[in-house]
Amino acid sequence: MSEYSFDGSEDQESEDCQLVNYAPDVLTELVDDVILGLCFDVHRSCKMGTFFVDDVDPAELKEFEIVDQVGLDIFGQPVSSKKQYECECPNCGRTISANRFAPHLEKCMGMGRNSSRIASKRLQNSGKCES
Amino acid sequence: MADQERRIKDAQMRATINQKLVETGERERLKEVLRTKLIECGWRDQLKAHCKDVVKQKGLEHITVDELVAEITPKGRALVPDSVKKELLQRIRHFLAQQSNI
Repeated sequence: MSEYSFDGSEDQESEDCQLVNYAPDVLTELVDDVILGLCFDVHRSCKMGTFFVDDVDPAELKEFEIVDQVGLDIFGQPVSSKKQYECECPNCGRTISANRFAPHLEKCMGMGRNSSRIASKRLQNSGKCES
Repeated sequence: MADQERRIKDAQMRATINQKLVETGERERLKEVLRTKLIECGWRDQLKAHCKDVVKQKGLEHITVDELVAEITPKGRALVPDSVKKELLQRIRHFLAQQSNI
């Protein structure tokens, strides 16, 4: 009753051959095992809600397609960046352009190589004491 | 009567063969080879696509493992490529031929 039969083996009565004739049955069992493994996998992903996750919707695909035109970036936005970003300095509260923010913060907080913090600290302290 | 005897002997043979396969670790090795080959040749993806149809038909909520197995197994068995069948059968027969004490 095996699924797989192999043509070519002669029908002898010797012990050896009889054993070998069980090969198709062994194969059927192994294949059934692999199929069972797949069924478990599929069943689990069904119950976990991940079974149809990798199904691609063609409409969605079109919506997020990469744009490859002159003058546009890959999202379809024009290349010339009109937005100039601004940030509020946490130290002095001023609105500084993002391009100048790091150097400003250096001076403002008295840190970094070019800020001469010792001098500014001395000025601060002298300003408090001398009055 | 002879038929029943033969069937009993048949079952005994299969049990002994299975035992030998497991003891020697050959069953795991064969299964690994089979799994790898079936993935490589696309059998798994084919069958998974068929599973999608079955699940859509039966309903995601109520699908059971038994239902899946019943629906998938015939197609799964049929879809195994001949080359894979041949190679596995060769290995199995080689193993069986080496078993002198069954």
